[in-house]
Amino acid sequence: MNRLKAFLRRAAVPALSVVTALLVGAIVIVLTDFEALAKIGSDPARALFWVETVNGKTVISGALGGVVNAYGAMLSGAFGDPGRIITALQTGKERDIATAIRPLTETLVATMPLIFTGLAVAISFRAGMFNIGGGGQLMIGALGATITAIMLAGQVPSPVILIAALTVATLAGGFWGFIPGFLKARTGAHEVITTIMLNYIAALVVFFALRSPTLRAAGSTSPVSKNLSPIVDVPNIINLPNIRLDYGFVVALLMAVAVSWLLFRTTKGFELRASGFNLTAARYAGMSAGGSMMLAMALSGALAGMGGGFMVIGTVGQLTLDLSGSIGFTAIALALLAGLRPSGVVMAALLFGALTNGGKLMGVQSGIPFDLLVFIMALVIMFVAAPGLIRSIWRVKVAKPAPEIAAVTPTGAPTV
Amino acid sequence: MAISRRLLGLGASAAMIFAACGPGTTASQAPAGTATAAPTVAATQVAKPVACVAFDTGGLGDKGFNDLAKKGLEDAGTAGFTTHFSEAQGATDYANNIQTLIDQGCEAIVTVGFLQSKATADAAAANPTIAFAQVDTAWNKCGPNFTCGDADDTPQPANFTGLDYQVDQAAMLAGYLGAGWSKTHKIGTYGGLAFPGVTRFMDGLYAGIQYYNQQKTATVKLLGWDGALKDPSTTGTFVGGSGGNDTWGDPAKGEQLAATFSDQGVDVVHPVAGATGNGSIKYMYEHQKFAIGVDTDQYISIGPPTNGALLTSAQKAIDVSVLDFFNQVATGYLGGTDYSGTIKNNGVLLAPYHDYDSKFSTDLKAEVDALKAKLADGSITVCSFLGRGC
Repeated sequence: MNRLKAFLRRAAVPALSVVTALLVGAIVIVLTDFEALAKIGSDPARALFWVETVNGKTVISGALGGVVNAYGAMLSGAFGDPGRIITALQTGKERDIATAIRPLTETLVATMPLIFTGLAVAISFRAGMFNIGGGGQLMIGALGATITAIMLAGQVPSPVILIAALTVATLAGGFWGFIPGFLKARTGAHEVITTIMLNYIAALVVFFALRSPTLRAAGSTSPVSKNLSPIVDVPNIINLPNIRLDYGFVVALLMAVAVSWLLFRTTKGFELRASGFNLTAARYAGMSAGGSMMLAMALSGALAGMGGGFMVIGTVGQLTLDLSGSIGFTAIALALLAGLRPSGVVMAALLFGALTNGGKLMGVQSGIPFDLLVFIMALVIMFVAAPGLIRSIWRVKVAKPAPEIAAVTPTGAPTV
Repeated sequence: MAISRRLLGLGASAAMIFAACGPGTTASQAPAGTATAAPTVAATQVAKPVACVAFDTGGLGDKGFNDLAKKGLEDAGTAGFTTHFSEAQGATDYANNIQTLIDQGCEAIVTVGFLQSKATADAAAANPTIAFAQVDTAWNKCGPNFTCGDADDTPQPANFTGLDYQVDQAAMLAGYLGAGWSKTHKIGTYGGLAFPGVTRFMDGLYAGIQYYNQQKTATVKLLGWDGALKDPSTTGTFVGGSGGNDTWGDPAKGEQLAATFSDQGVDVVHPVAGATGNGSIKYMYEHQKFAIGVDTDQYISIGPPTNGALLTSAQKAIDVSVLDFFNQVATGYLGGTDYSGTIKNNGVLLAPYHDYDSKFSTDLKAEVDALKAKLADGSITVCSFLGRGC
């Protein structure tokens, strides 16, 4: 019971932040619907909310109707369209079922790399290291997986390639994370600077590699890799047409459990957290501070690299320069939203995955640009970072942020 | 777009024939009025396919090829097509976005950019009745070794159309014009990243300057791209960056690059780096120097006052070809052939001179027009001026 209470207290701020952000988003949708608002003088009902039947379909219009349409599309884009689910239940055809569940599976597909990178950020933050280089470590991991897959193609059975590629991805990402950890431990170079710079280096290393004919797609002069799907693929959880959800998602969940166990149940994890709390005290207690830094950064990079491996081999099947997108930075935001807890990372990643995936359909159906989603996600983070604001808006008592977060967020860190 | 024009022409003449059999003639010629009325209705009210565009991570607002494709889609909307579009945030989105469009009932789908190649090819294979086209892509029929007629040939899917633009031809005209205008006899160029979609502009620019030097026995120099080399990208000037916003959307970097070129005596800059290049144009404007625009008529897309620096732009008519593709699909076309935009078919073009129209000498304008004619009839090719050859 106490645990449940504690959980609810912790979840209050993030949950209310999401609600507030969605409300602000709704206001923005209403205020920017100039076409409908222009009618407010002549026909207020049509300007604000209007339901009519056109060709047998119910059409909602007006500025407030726009909000219903947009958020409705977001929900059905993230979790499934009720109409399609009913059709699927009635016909029972493979294709209909696939169409019905695809929004949900795509949400999980979008969530998978966010869990990996979110955990990567969380583990490094716990040790007091600000890993801004998740995107670069992910790209290097993906590059490692791609090279391995192409080199081993046709020489060994594909399950072996799969394991080898993912191992190389993890090691490569880990190495890329180890560099800033090593530099910090040995020379004091600030990891924020080195990880950001290593992002650029990673992107250009990948670009350079994609210019080589060995990796480049056959018959293409553009910097995209060969198609990896015929060589190796992560097995799908559900075998239906156009469903991409694969066991990478399951591994992501297992990694969350593993990170949680490492951080809170092992001596090494205690050492990591101790150097995050107070480096001097940890040193005084005889812990190797430099070792903790390097370990935390290597583990962090390894998680991001593994995520990159699963993305390139499982989800996409081809390495391109925009594989990581903005995941590296989104991960920082969601790790903070999650209070640096692995379980929280999973939930925050699900939220962001649902928002991004639902936002796609919102854009397609209602023409509202995806930028609104970016806006809403930014508001969520802002509200989480300012619990006082949420408290005064909703007039509720909110728990103070956990001490360990308070301990890591200041000290000259960039505001995320 | 030879085929498209022909098909369009066919459609138009069919419409005219049906129109000719309209109400006026129906009564006298056909005993059963309904029998002839039916095809008339069919011809004019034939359901237009649902037209859709999947943008790449460059995104809307790039004032480059995504926005141009958007304009093509909007024109299609005006022409009576139902339209949808989707935006991508990363490589994992491409397949999902295309599938979402298919679920929305899209029948003609244009994907923008080479990054979507795999997702587009996969979707085309899985949905043989939907017509796909891809901007900035030519299908390679000859397979990995680029030799046709052997075992590794990759035949083009019957529902795929590559929309490719030989923009080096337009850039060659711009290069000639720039060489004729430059007071310091030095032109500068740089790209975002070194891949063909970018370096084609730089190749063309180089060729235009070489041709000018040949004709006038002049010594106009191009900085930032040495087309005489086998692989000029090894020494060329590029923004670099991660391939994201820091490559294509950083005007401050563009200003720096323009300043560097200016310090070396350059007075005409041709940036090929999206919004980063807009910074260069601004710098050149502020220093009473000149620039050549890229992708679209930047004189219009950038607007005053900085567009005062623009001599012209090397343009791709992406909007026209996207709309063309939708119109073709409306007449029953599915795919199987590529479209190649050239100077000849107005798929690539040199933008109007705007402010400089009165400043260029009549001779220079006439020479550019003559070169244009030669590029159109094939008596001059861009690649013959390049170190890597044809």
